[in-house]
Amino acid sequence: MINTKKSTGWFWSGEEPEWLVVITVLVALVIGGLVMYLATGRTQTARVNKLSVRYPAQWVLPGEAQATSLEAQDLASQASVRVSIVGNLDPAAPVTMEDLVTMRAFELAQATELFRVLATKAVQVDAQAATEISYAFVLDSAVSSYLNAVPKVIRGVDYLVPYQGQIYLISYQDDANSWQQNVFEQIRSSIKLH
Amino acid sequence: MSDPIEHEHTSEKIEPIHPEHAPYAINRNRSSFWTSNAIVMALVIVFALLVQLAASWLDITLGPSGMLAASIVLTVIPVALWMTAFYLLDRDEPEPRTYVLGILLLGGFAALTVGNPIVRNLFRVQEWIGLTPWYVQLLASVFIVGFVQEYCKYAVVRYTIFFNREFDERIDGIIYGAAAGLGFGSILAVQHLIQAGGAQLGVAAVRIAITTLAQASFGGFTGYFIGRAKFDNMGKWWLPAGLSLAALLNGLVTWILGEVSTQGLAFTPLYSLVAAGVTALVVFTFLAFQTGRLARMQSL
Repeated sequence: MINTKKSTGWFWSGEEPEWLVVITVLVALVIGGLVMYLATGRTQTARVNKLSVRYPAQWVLPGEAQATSLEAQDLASQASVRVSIVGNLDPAAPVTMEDLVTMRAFELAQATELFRVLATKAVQVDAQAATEISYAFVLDSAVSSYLNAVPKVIRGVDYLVPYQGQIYLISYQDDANSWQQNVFEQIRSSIKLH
Repeated sequence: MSDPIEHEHTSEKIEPIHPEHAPYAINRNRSSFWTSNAIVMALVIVFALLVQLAASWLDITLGPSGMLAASIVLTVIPVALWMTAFYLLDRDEPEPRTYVLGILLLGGFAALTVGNPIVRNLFRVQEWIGLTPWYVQLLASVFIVGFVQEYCKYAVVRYTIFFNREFDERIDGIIYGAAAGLGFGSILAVQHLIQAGGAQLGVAAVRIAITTLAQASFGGFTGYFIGRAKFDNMGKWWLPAGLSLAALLNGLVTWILGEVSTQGLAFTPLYSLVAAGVTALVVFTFLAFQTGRLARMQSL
């Protein structure tokens, strides 16, 4: 029969004392906590009523933050995130998610050029049922045909989230040619309903 | 000219702690384990590719409830493949299947109750890691994700089967470590897919294959250090160093896997599958080489 090597005192003593492993892990987690502290200092939180979303700290707010809407934008790219309350849920006049998607698509189609809805699907946002709308449009910032700006294809992903009597819209847009998938995913996963 | 094996023998003392441990019993480089492992890795990759191919033909996208059911089915398949191949091919002195299965389930339990909650709920890594520069992402991958995940697998093996008499070969550390990693990776993959709120079936199959392959490799790597700690006098820093190396490997590969599949709008999970396959191949080849080297050294 083969005896096990360590039966007693294996945690505090022996050739490979276990406490050293535990200390190593604790030190690593303290360093990890420090990294988290420094990293979260590089992000900002946008809060609109009962919804919050995190975005990179270097992004700026092009307009004044309001009680019902807030937009943050990356000046180095076309990326932006906008959080707003687009309506209240009225039990007397119920709306379906399809109605909300249609209204949002109509609004975007009016405000942009060559707007196309790419896909819509039911998703979960912070454990709440929501609808995701993927779309694209052309942004032509030039006011004259002689200016040097080339029209850009902008891709956007919107989330419509009914929550506690209100309908929240989280809209992320970025240049389709330099789409930052990890930034989008992080912003999406940082959405919190309070 | 001196024999390289002899040279290695003089530079590193490998002595069994207990005389009653016959060298042949703890040294064997069980070739059947490596064969079964290689076959399973190849099968997992082929399985993921087949599901993706079928899904692209059928254009299947699943919602949250469908994803839960599909994830469970897709996750059970790599586990079943591993267990089946392992027991069909490892006939030299197979580990008791109840123990291997138990460690695998414990690995999954550790992911569910400790690993994922610490990473996602305590450190909330998913909320900020992608908004930071690459070096911060790498540091977080190593010091938070790597250390938490590897310590979970380490604890599953070290605090349970390590003290059992069935843990009687160095390679058992790798076997049980890989089993813990496979269980851990399976639960991690299912939780990831559920939290994502659904995905295309093909993408889900590839993601499950990536996670299970990578986590089983990391687990095997961690297990190597545990196996040697039991039978060789490696010094008091062996296990902390081994766990740190495994965490570094985990963090580095996790970061690379996230980077290689995303380029702008294009999301190509197959790149990550290739990267995970290469990782598993490199890690297990390294472990097979090390185990073989030890066996040769002690047989002299």
